[in-house]
Amino acid sequence: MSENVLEVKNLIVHYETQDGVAEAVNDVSFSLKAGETMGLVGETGAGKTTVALSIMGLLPKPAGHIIGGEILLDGKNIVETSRNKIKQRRNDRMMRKLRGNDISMIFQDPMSALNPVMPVGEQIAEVIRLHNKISKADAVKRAIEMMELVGISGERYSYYPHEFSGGMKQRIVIAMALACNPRVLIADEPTTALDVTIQAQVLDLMRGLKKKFNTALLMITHDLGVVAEICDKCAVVYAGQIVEYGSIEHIFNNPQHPYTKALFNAVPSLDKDVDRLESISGLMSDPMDLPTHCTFKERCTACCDACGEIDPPLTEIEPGHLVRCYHFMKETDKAAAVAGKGGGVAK
Amino acid sequence: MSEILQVKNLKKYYSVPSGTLHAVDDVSFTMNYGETLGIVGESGCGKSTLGKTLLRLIQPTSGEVIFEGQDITNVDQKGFTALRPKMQMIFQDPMSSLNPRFSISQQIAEPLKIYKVYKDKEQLNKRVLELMDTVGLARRYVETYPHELDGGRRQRIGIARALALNPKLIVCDEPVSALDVLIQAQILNLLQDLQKEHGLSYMFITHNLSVVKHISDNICVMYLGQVIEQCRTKELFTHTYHPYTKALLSAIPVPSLKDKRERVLLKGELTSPINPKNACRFAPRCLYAREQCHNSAPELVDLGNNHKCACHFVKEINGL
Repeated sequence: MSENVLEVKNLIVHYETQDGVAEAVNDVSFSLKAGETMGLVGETGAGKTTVALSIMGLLPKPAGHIIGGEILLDGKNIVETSRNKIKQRRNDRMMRKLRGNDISMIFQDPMSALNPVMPVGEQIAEVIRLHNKISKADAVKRAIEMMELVGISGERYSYYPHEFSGGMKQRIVIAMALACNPRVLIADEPTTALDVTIQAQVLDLMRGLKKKFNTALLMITHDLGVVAEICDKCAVVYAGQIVEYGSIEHIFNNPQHPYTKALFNAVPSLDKDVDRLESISGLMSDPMDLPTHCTFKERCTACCDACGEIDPPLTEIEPGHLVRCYHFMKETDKAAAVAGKGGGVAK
Repeated sequence: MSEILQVKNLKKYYSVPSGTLHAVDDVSFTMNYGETLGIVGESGCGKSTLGKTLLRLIQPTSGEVIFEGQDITNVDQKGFTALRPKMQMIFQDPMSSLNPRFSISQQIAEPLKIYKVYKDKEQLNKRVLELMDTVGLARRYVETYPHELDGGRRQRIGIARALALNPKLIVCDEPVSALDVLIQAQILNLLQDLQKEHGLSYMFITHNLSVVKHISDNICVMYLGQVIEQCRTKELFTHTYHPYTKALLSAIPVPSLKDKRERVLLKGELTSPINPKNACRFAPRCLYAREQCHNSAPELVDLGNNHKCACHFVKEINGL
């Protein structure tokens, strides 16, 4: 396999607000190869979108800060953790060149992602002209090509966003995101606002285009069904941490973390008849006030005393399948963690 | 009498600049006491309009709604005040259906105050706390405001408020579609428990077929204002007849790698509900559409086992 196109290493993101610091992302690491698709699954507030915005360099300012970690695009770090304004500005300038060209993003709501007073074709051509030195006529030609590629007739080049339906608008957004042939595409809940039949069409389209352009795709979703449809591997996120990580065969055929299991049990099934859905009580912990050590312990059915004393690391339980849970730690690690309790737990 | 609600040829048309919009077109069904009827369809198919028309939040164009043996389509506002406590609604977005300036206790007490159920303030407060217990809201939230709570808790307030007057029928308009799966499971369980406890009848409007399968006894599938398939839930999932229902079922992404069902990918999107032709409304997207489909509208026909389907070629397609 080729090298990693995108690598996120130990990413930590905080939002510094008047009420305190929200620890949105705590030590997230993953990597993506060209043509690979990874699903990032979790509930609202788990920090999925924050991860995406960090990669895009679009964290809301002034609250959002990348505290630590690296994001490598083709091996080059694109994160500036220093608060120095000059360094920050230099990084912003660099990000502006990368965005749309090397990494692009598809947002959940296509209506708010498009400019309502600009014809859709021109919006696509704008991206192309920004990143390539080509004439306007060529950019228009390329924009029309992109529209045809996502299944919209080029004759609708000068139509405005409100003249399209939700599914069509999402197609335009996809055309725009792929116009400069980016290495990495981030899709933040791209089908959540769409009807199932339209969702099926859009997923089909994304699958085809991904193959065609060999783009690495990061799919953010709360729908495990969508992950099963389109992803190669999957990371389950809870309270800003990856709690389970593996190929989709690992996650779907052999889920191990109590939270992942709970997610699967909560979805009403089409094949089985269940009288009552299994749900776990409580809510995701507040990122302003995260519980110490295992963040899931308060809702966990398998919680024991040790869960309140040890920070469980991501442990490999089979090749490529990682779980963050005390019960899957190796015995030697458990002993070491308990011994090292006084002087900070090794991660 | 086992029917709580009978709907006969209900229609709701809107005049718009370019013609008449058929939001609900000739819908008929019955609902029994203590049962759940699921209404499924894509956005724009008229399912919410149908729900609101039943509660007379929207005045129907024609047709009859018979609630507990009484025709309520032409009851005046005053007469309807007496009926409202028996039929309530839970809305999709709890944030926009709750008053942002009312505390939780005020939200839940509002219907009780309007109907002057309790003269004594203490009794009223007691009932509010009781209702909060019923829906699983901790009592410490009694003086908080909606913006301080998360989506799941807000939806619980909506449910508590709907339950306040001991209704018999609750129209649930997409009550769980804005919620995460774990919270969705909690709310679905709560709704089922309440149904058993209070003998409620639900009309459950949703676009999510797996949710509807879980909670409903009967299902109506709607397409552009019309019911195109109608039967018991079990029957629908074992014998799916209408091509649209089939496509809808196959489009659901299943969180499993084992059974990859055959995909029926529909072309195009919902056509316009303005001035529809006398034709099958699904024909432009249908895989099996023939000339007859474009020239005459199919009727809802009973195919036995109380399974109704509106399609000209249903027997041919399914080899019946």
